[in-house]
Amino acid sequence: MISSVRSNMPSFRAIEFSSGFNVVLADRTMESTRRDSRNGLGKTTLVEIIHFCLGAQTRRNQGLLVGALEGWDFTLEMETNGRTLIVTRSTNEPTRVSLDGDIGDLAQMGEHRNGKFMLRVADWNSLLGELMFGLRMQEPPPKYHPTFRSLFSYIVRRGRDAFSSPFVHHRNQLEWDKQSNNAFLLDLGWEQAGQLQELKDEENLLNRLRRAAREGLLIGMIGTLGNLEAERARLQSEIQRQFQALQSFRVHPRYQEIQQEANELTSTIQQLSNANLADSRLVDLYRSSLEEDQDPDIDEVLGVYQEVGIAMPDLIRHRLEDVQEFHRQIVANRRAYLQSEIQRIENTKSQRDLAIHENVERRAKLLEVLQTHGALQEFTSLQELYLEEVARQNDIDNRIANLRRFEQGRSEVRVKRELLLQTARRDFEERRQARARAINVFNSNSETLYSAPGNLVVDITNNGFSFDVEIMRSGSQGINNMKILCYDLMIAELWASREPSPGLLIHDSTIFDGVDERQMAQALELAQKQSENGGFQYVCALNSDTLPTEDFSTGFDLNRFVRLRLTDESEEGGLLGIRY
Amino acid sequence: MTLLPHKHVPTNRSLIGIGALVLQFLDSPSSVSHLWESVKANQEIASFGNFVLSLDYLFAIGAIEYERGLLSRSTR
Repeated sequence: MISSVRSNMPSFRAIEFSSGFNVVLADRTMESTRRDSRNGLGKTTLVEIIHFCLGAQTRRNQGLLVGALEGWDFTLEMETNGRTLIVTRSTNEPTRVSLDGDIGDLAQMGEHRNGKFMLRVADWNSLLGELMFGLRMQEPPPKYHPTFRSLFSYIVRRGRDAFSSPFVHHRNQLEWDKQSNNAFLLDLGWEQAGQLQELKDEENLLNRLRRAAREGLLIGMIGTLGNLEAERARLQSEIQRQFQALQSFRVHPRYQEIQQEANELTSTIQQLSNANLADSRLVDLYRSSLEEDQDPDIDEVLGVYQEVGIAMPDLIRHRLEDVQEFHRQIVANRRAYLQSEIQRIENTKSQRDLAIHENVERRAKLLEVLQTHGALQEFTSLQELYLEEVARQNDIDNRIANLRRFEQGRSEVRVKRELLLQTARRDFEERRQARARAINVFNSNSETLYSAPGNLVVDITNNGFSFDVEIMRSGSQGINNMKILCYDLMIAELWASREPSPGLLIHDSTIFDGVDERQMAQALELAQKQSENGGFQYVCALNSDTLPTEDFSTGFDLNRFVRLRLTDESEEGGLLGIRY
Repeated sequence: MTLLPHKHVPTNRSLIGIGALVLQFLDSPSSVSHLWESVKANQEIASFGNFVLSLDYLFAIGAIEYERGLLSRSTR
């Protein structure tokens, strides 16, 4: 229960609250409707201050840490779990709170500075969790668990987001956070919600493994285990083959030169052979000339001479004997020529044959070297290929390992999830009574407001808990808000009979937005009755111009419960007493 | 081989004709074989034998000379 809210600044309008029903009333004058709505009277600010004192996260230049509020300290006096605590937090130094009151046994948690007992905000939150909700985590704490700050945000809802569903206090609230905290509030097995989230984390990790195993694979390769293993086997035999080839490879340092020389020799041999072929043909020609060219008989010369003597006697210049001698010489010279040519050519051919033979032998030797050795370049290439294959094999091995881990992990996760859900369902069954009681209370609240039955639906699905509230009355304006009200009152009631307990519920005027006057009146009266009977503190902030004064029961005087009246008639009428 | 053309031997196949042809090819001193290589493509000179007889004829009428193994046209 919150006893009072104060500040170090004199303009602040301190509030004192009682147990049971409390109202903070905001009077809007006619002029204010034309003013900027940001300059509120302080209803929202009050909620902010309460959160601030009770360990809310802060951001510079936002909320209460704006420049205009520099130097402001806010103090909350509260009673919880039989202990009085006075906490002060400063806008100048929001990382710590100072604590006073029944703090004798808390010395270990903080340190004394300048005569004050200071606590780090995180430690303050832990302490509050223990004191107000009995939150005690084993060491080491599970990864996902209810937190004071989240639970408290249901007790004191803040911001428009908090009024859309009973189970959500923030727009981006994570699923596990919702499940864990609501389950805790409803006295259900919150541990399983956290464990389910841990399983989800595991699944994400496994999916990443599978992605890694599949990413960057060559086109056409399917990333299945069977496919990869087949590829690996193929690579293995290929690698072995290449390894053997490398082992038996002999590099010759002058391989290129030798290859070049062998090629040149081939060319030379070819040329020599061609030349010999041409010369052979020539020799044949000469030989056949020697045989076939029938030299005319020396006697024929006589015949010619005689003809000339008859046909052109005055032309004759030589005697017959001279002509015959001429003839003999011609013929003899001709034959001699042919024979010497033949001889000469045959000699040339023989020399070429010799050269051919020498070249062929030399080339044979070179070829032998070439066949049994390899060039350094070739060896290097082979080696590179080999290393590439080995690298590919390693890559495949990694992928296979990842896939195996994925498959293994996935089965494990499935099993774990099944077991977890079983445990959750069993536990759920065992808490049937608690659930029944909650439903009863909720139903009773809804009957009061709408004369219609209401239901609280809690289920276990594969994703964990699912929550819903129903009120069997449709079409009524603002029924959504009233669902939240009924739910919150139910939670407050159920916890009021427990120890420890927050013993507190605060509603901002937002909860009554768009609600029928009749329901609003019923709701306020219900809250008053429940808080008095149940022994918890209820605070609501209302606008005076939306009070359902006509619809209150006779004898219900709201003014009795007003602890503070805020007005915008003057600057001092707001909560902070200043305009900022 | 006849010296003069007659009914069955045209001029260009007679020794006179062949001789005239051979003489055309002998524009500079040349050995027998060399001259023969130049000349033998011509069909009219059917054989080496005809070639030699034509040389004999040309020598006989003093149209060519044979000095130091080379044939040449007479300068006289």
